[in-house]
Amino acid sequence: MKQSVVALGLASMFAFGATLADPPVTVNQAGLKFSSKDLEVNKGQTVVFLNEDTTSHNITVTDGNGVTVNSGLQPPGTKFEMPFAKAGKYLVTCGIHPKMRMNIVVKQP
Amino acid sequence: MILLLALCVAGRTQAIPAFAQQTGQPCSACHVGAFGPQLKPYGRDFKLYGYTSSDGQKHLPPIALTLQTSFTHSAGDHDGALEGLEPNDNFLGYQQISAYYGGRVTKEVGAFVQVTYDQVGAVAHWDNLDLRYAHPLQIFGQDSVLGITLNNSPTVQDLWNSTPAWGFPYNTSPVAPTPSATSLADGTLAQQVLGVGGYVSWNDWLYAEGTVYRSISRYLAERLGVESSRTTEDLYGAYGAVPYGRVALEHGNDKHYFQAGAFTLEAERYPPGSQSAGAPDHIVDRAFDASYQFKGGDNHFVSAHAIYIHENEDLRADHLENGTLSKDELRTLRADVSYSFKDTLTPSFQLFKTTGSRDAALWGTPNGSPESWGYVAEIAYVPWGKMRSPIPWMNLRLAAQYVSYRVFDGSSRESSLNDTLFLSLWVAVAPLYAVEKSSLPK
Repeated sequence: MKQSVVALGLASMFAFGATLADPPVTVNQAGLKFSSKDLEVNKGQTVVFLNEDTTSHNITVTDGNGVTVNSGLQPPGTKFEMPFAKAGKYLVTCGIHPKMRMNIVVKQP
Repeated sequence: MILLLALCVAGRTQAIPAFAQQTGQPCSACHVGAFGPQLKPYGRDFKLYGYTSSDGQKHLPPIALTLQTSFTHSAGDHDGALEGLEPNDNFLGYQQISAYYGGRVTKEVGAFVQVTYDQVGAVAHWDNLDLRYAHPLQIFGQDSVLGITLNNSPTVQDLWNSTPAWGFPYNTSPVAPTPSATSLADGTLAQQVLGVGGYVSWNDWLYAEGTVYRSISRYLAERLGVESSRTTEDLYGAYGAVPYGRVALEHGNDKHYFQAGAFTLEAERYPPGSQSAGAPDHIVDRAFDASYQFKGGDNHFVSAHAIYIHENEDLRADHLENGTLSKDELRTLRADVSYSFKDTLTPSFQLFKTTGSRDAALWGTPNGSPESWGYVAEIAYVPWGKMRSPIPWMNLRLAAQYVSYRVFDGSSRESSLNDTLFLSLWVAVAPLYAVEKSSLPK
């Protein structure tokens, strides 16, 4: 529930502040790896995590203060959209596959 | 005596759907042949990261139960059968019943805890234990893991099935004859010790670990059911500090995976009742091991392991009290290969050989030689444990295993009388996973 509220808050912030935001960036999950190890996006930009594996994933996004957004179980073929409304550094992991890790830096445009 | 020794190495378990409950993954995601304990790369990761990986859902506690049923036929009858057992052709309806806690305790702490009831020993006892703390971090700019393990059997914490605790064969008969000579690293210390260690995995390339074990007290052993299920003649009473060191190199891609490593185990022990005799025996094991795995799409998986253990025994106490030589050595070599088709049908084959110095007082063999060698052939069938299996909280494994000896306890004469056919059914369930599944909206 708490995670959902955080996600909803992030989504709301995105909705108010992203009218001129950049288009979404897609990160693929295939072969139990993220397609990017490091990614830079602009504040307000959305990252779409696409599960192209044959197994489920569980996207977990943690900011510098330890606040976490959890996608829940992400079945194969589905996507999880994560708007980044706040500049900073984020660690993205898969809760199921701990070696799947990537860093996202959100810049102030 | 043979039967009692068999008890010491029998009944390794560990395929538990409680892990599936926590991760939402089928058994086949972690295990070759969709049933433990042989690990695929993801299974090793799951263990390396302290059994904490999760699908992000809330779950009931990760509890699992297993039942093993078996029939054992040996080529020859054997003396010394325990009460209730025949000299041959033994059916064990509940050879081993185990209960487990397997999974996450906190975000970075997980546990694999097993308690077992053995039908042959007619006793409940603690079994494998591995509590872990694992913390991912960057070392020299590379993904790494630092961890701590609290466990009760050297190599039970290891990630590779080349080492003894989880090595092939994964299920063995508790009533079949087995060779007398066994190295310290080959399960002699299992559940007799408790150890704390630290490990590091760096860049999916280097793994290093150091653990120090101590004997558990006789008081604790009795309460944990250990002594009554094992022969006290084999226990050697007490061990001092037992340092264990492990290093391994690994490299893999989507298809191939290689690992090569070594470990060392060193112990001072006293023969039973002789702790005041002065200098204890000093046992040093050095082992080299390697693993290879090949993944051919979704249908084919080949796995191979090899290990060589060299044991040096400085028998200062045994020599004085029991008339053994003052120094002995034991060499053990094993190599196995398995092929898994659709994680359902898995034939396996192993060659094994033990040689060493002749010492009748130590090994207890007729001519003093510890030599034994032969092969194990097995075929296992696992219908479930895959992505589309109908019952995710349950799995089973049917196996037929044949063990053949060309030399047994130093003699090739009549060694084949120890050849054994072992048929087994192994059932694993996660009862609280079943509750979760039944309470989900249709």
